[in-house]
Amino acid sequence: MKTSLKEMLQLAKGSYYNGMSFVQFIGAVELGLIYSLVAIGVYLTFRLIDFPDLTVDGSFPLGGAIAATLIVDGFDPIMATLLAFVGGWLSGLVTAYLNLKWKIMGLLAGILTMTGLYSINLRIMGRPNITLMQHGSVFGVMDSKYVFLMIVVALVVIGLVFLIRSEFGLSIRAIGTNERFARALGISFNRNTYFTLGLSNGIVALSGALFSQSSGFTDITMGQGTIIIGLASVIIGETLFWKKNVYWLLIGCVMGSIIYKLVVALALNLNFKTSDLKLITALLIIIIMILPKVRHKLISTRGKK
Amino acid sequence: MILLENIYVMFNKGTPLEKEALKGIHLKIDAGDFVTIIGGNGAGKTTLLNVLSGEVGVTRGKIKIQEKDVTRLSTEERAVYIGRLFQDPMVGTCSELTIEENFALAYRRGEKRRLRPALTKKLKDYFKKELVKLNMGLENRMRDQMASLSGGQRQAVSLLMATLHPSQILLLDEHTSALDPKMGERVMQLTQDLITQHGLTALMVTHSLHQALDFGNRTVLMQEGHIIRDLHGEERASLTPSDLIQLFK
Repeated sequence: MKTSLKEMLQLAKGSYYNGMSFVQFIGAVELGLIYSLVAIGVYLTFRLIDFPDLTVDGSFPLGGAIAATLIVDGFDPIMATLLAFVGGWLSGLVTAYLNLKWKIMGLLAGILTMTGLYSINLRIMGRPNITLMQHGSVFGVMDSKYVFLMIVVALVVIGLVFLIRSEFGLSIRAIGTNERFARALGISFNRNTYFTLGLSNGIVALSGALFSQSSGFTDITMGQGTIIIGLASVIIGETLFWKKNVYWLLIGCVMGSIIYKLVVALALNLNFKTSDLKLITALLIIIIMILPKVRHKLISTRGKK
Repeated sequence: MILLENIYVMFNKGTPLEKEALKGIHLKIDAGDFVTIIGGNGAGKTTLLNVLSGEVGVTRGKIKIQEKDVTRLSTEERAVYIGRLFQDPMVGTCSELTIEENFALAYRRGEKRRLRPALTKKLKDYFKKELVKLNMGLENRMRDQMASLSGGQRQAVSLLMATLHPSQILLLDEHTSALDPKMGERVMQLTQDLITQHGLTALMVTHSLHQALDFGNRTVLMQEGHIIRDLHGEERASLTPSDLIQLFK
């Protein structure tokens, strides 16, 4: 199966395909683990409380900007990473405030915060990019970067499972599925929205901080398309764990993110350019979203057994 | 128990669509009363319930529940006093959550939601025991999504959920009108049983003249934002549905 695919690709492209090397594979998994936190953040807003939050394109580089600037200033990397989380949380609160207090549409509120964050990130960094190569990072606390990442992701997932199982967590899910009913039960819509947007963007900024320290640089443009990567991962995860409960969907976010990064690595191996990635991502999401509908159409035209 | 003083409600104030939905409502409801509210479309029946629950703000007037002025409190803050059922079975529960999760939500109505687990073995057993009362076999479907239940089942579950918490007021907004007649009757019987059992104070909006007279101890007639008659005691007992129509003339 694998070889035939390889041969087909060789024929189709008339070029030599050497498969994905182990280093590339590991690199993709590492990126997938880092970005799985973005996917989880996106899942919390888009799915759990049904708030299409686009702040992430700003909060991801915000995390990178805070962590990099502080580390270069001589801060402890762990402290710097935690402060990045706090910064992300605050950015989520801004979006929530615009939406809840001033009734600005959720989508627009996120775009406004994200736009403003671009300048704020530049202010924090003082220049468009910061190199971290010669500085320490949170990964220094352990021998293996991958084990460390796995532990961080596992802790976030376990923490969220604990939260979602709780009375408070259940009340968060309630505002996302039936706002009117939730209010009638005395659940504060505003408080839950503030909390979830804060938490989501905190986790996304944490991802940004880890990304910067892993890749050794922070760039002002590194947030572009974060939301799409997160959404793609969430959707892949949902396809994998179709009809599963919310806990499985969290794991789906992690799996989805890793698969997404593997697909990207594969695409790069097929001699696509980095600049083609956005198109590939868009097509990937479109295909995943259309597939169930096409299948449904085929079934309904043929009639059920 | 409940006191509505000179309540005025204006929708779309200052626009061409301006409409005064309630025009000076006075209503005093004693603890244990079961009041049925009847009236034509646009009479202000649902608005009256919404005013009580806090979903609609008043332009003028005062609302008191158990001697406490709640006029300025939000729906969320009033939840501790009030259980509510809606006309649309979809509104009264969270479709995407399971039956037991819905119960867990309702169990803490009006309380602070903590970080302790929402569902424990003990609570699940309790919810199961409550569900048995419905006699619909739902006690074996605790982990099914609410969406998989029929409209009637959902209303029955909502009713049970609304009475789970020791709140004293139950608001019913045509809660059987979307159901088939047989299921509607069954849900109505359950309503009566739960109100009696818990000694609730209830307000029920209905379009059915029969329901308005067959249930409860008091009937309020509404027309164009006013209460035009308030029937109880012998006067009410002697009325037939056709008499009721005459009163609206």
